[in-house]
Amino acid sequence: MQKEVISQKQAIIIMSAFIIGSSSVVAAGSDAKQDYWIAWLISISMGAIIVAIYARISKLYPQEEFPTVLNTLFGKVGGTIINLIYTWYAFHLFSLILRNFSEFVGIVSLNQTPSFVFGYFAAVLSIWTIRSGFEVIGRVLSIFFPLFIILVITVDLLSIKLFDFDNLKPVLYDGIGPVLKSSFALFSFPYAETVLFLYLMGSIRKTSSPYKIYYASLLLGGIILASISIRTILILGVPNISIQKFPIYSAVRLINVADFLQRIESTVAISFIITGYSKGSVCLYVTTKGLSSAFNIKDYRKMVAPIGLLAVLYSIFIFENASEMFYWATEINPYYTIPFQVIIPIIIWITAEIKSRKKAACTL
Amino acid sequence: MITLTFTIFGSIFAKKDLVPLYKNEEWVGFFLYLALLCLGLTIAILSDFKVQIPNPIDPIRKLIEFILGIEE
Repeated sequence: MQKEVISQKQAIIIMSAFIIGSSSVVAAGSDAKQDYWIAWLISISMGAIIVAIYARISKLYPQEEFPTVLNTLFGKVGGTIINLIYTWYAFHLFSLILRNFSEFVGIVSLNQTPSFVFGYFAAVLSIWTIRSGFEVIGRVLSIFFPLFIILVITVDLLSIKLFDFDNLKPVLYDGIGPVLKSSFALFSFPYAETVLFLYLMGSIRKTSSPYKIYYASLLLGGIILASISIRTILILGVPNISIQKFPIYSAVRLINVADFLQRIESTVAISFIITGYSKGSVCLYVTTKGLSSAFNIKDYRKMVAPIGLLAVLYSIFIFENASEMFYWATEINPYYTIPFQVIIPIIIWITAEIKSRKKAACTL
Repeated sequence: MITLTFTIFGSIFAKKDLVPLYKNEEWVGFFLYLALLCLGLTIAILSDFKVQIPNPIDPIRKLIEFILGIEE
């Protein structure tokens, strides 16, 4: 099987789309309310620290597959266990994305259609993409991501008339506590989810810099996400946001230019399809790669279909309803993801540094 | 409905993937693929019969709620 290679530019686009992902409709950090912009600044700073660790791990083992790196650092058994932990994390995240997508479409438009139908078609699209090879995501997003950015900027410009800057006041009315809680939630969903890109770093071109990829994506994805969320607060205000299931969608619905350009909320749905597809495909790729490495299967693409279909089934019974889904995203997910996003990467990084220094000392 | 959709998609992908795995005698991949398909079919049938399937994240959720003192 030929080694799949993506360029630095494609990696940045994929990671930026991954960061925006389902956050373009399921917004985290709602506890901060009108202080969301402060929570965003804090979360980006926290994200900048943790991605430095992810980039350093990739830098220490360039061009190597992550499961191989884990086996080198922790032995066959230890490496396989950590690999399977991340496989589960990626699988679970893919199921969450499918459920987000199903709930979104079911609530905003097609409420008579069974939700699993959307999940199946979203999963089949991701399965088809991964079976064709990972570079396909890079090529697809090279076309669609610029269109997505133009869409976001256009909607931002069209909604300027609806902005009420009083919705950002009073600043820090409830104190710093909710802001810190929100920044932690924002950090874990979505910035620190880029830990899954450790599985992709073995496929980037030799001349690429993991630091550039991580930081450029963090900045680009973070700015777009912030513009979408702050736009929503400026248009709707905090009391209206708290009663909406998908406030980002509802905010865009209010845009009306000369009674001609109106009801453009489908742009939000299109944005979610582009970014959600990207995030889902990456998660499915990581799950498949992880499972194939654990069982020594040569061609990971053979395993993608049953894993994708299983993820759809899991997405059906993972939550009873949409309220449970939002409760998980806001209250439980930030703490559940700490081992995957912080603890294990730090252990990997420290072990990698020790081993590389020992290796350097031996060669001297 | 869930079982029917799973069977349709599963059959299409199984024809494309499972047959070559069998012909190339890649037994680990073949049996893992088969096991995942069987697991999926079982879950699909149970879902259609509205049977409560144990959720692996429920214990994790309860543990986090207990540690943090969150009441749902």
